Amino acid sequence: MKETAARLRRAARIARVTGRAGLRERLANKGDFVLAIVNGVTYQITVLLFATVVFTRFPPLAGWTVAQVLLVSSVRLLAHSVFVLGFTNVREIPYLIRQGRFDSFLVRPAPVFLQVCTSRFPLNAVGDLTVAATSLGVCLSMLRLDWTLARIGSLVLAVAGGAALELALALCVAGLVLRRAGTEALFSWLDTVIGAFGNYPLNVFPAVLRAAFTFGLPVAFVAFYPVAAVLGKAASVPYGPALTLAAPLVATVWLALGGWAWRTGLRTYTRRGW
Amino acid sequence: MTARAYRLARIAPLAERMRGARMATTGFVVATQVLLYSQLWRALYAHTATVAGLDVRQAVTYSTLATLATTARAMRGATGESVKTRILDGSIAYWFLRPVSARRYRAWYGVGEALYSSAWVFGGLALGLGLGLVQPPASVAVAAVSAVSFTLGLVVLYYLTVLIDVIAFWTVSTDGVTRFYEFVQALLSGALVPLWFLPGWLAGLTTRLPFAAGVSTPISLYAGRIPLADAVSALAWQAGWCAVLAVVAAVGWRRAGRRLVVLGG
Amino acid sequence: MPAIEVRGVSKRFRSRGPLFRRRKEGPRETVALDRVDLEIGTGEFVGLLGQNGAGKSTLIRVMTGLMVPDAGEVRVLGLDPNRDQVRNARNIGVTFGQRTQLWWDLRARDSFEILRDMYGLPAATYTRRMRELDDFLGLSAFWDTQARHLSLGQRVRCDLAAAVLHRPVLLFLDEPTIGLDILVKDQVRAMLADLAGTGDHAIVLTTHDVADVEALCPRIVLIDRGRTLFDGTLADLTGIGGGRRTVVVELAGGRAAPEVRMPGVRLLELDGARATYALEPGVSQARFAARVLAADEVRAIDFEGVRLEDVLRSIYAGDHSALNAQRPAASPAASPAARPSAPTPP
Repeated sequence: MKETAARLRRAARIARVTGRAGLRERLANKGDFVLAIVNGVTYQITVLLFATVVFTRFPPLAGWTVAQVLLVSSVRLLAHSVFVLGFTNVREIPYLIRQGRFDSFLVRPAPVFLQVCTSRFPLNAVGDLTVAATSLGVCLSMLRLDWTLARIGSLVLAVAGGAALELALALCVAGLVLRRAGTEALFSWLDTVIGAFGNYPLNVFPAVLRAAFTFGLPVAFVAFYPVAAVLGKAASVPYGPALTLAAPLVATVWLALGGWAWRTGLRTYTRRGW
Repeated sequence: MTARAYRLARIAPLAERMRGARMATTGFVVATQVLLYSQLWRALYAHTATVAGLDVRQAVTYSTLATLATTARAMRGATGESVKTRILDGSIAYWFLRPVSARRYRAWYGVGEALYSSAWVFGGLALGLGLGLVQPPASVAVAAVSAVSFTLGLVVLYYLTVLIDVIAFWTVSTDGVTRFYEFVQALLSGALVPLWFLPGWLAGLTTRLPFAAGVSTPISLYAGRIPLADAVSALAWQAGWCAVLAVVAAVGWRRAGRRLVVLGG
Repeated sequence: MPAIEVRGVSKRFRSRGPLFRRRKEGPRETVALDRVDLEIGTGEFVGLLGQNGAGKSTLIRVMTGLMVPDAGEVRVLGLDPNRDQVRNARNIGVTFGQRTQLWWDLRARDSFEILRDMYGLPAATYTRRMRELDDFLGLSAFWDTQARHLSLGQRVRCDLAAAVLHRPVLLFLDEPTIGLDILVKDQVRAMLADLAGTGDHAIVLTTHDVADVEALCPRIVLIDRGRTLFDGTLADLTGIGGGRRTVVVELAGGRAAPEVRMPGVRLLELDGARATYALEPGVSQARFAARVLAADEVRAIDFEGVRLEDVLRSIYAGDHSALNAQRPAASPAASPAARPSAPTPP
């Protein structure tokens, strides 16, 4: 028990030190600094724009109003920002390996995952968060919901679950990348797929995609199912209302899977190299 | 000369081949994206026959080709011979110490990249035609014009990526620039959202930008969104951008050579 | 015409500092090179020494055309290495320590083939050179491995081969043996010694490994804070220990040691049968020994030869007295704080 506490403290200290170094490094280059923030904004805007085009040009979105669809998008954007803020460096592993930094992480007395996450300050999260928060604000003012404690709780849980799912999926890919160099394109694939398909009510998709995003790649749990619960539209979701409450469970299962993928990937990497 | 060109153009495809996992991943990404997007557009058109002058067959054709064109290109050397990694580890210096100038080396390398990504596009096109996702070109003339336009598009995209590369000599870390470019590219090239779905003023602007010249123009010609009658002006825009970007890139290379400061000298 | 001419080359770097810096901190400037002159002839093997940050790498970059000096002029076989970069490239071969020019995803052999076609080498020449290089460096054991899977020693050997494949007249090697084990170092040195032996290459080597220099470089250029501090032979540099190169002579039978009258020899201490002499630079140890042996029955002569490492250590620590002392007729009044200018090469 005591040992664990000491280990945690040490890990926290290392995280703080490396995190600060990472931030200083990012501040060193003005152009880079500005661009990183602009990037967060543009990324989110491309996603929003796609969503907007889709639900303004194609009116009947399976009984969901524009504001309701926008809430799905906003929760997904916010979850993504939280993921970027904490864990986006997982996607940078190929570069960390190429630079030789990853190997030095392996020999330091701190969890590799922690060192990866703090290796560079995710400045673009600032931009991401701004857009996500704005979008959420706009859509909440359009919706005029009455805010019970349960509703607030479920909204927060939805964002947390979405971020956890994104992390879990990124960890799965990271585990694969550590095993097999050359698979890193899957990181941006994940981003694109969740960005393009996580923003709408699942009802608009044909049956194949509905099943794929519910029982396969858990895209629908990133925002759609939990938001249906927030909006009280549980009755209208495919495969039954119980799924609207399942997001935390799904996130936990996928996190476990991601953790396993990460650990085995790391083991393979230390044994075989890249 | 030809031996040299062949050898340099071969680098990118060879590097891809050396990593079996990469080709498999590319195949997976291309196939799933094509299928997912075509499903999405079909679903969106379920209740409407035409939106913004495009019927469902055209929309799916457009989306499939746009996905193919962008994902095939996005595959370009994530960790391999990119200016970004070469600058990161300081070995970009070698590009300037060989009897082939950095600019020419990058050009031949780019030819290889373009051919490789085109192979994916055409493979995907064949598959799309077979699955009925993509409709065949309306006429031989349309096919020919879009092929020319596709080639010009490759040149435009090549110069755009070279400009990103060149910027890296100033910003050191290209992450920001590259990612910015990717978003702008996704947004303004029409790959994510066909450009005519954008609000009028923005659509008018974006179709004139080089990003559209890279992806949107050839596909619009193919899908019939740009009628054959307007093809000449569309091709002229593309050619114009090729010329402008070529000049800018040449200037950029010259200044990059001067600017070169090997990291951690 | 010398192979390399560096005349009055200066280079300074400006660091702009972080985004949110305190207002008082202005842009910082470091002088990397300060009016450096250097001439290197064909067939010379020059060791470029200096502390970290002394300006060695900057000098290499200026000589290879990667960097344009703020002032001064560089000519490499008559060409401006920056302006005539492509033409100059055929004449030079370069390696930068840990930085590889191999194509990361390709097999080492693919990289050699790409370079072969870039330099336009005929197939027969290429095959012959690869065989020669293989003999020295044992490349064939791993040249079918992808560059990213090569060990450091393997990669460095491949990079060296890549740099000399086209038989450049000039070779710039920036820390070629860093991080290598003894056996690989020996291989690399043997190859370089062989190249040097042909007499038609000029080789410039920077290294922190004194053994490299002692084994390979007849001529040494010492750079410190952007200036040439010393330019001469290895023997000169180790010989300039001033009072520090000493000889202890012990005579048989307990007789008092004689005073050896020889220009450049000074008796430092006489202690019964043991005498300690200081040898000025340029005094031949053999001639001194012959004199002593001819005069007396000697039990032991112990030359405390100055090692290059010690000289460098004292110079890096800021003691330039040795260099001052080496200058002919150095005025004793010269302030030790004054930076000594480059002594003229012999």
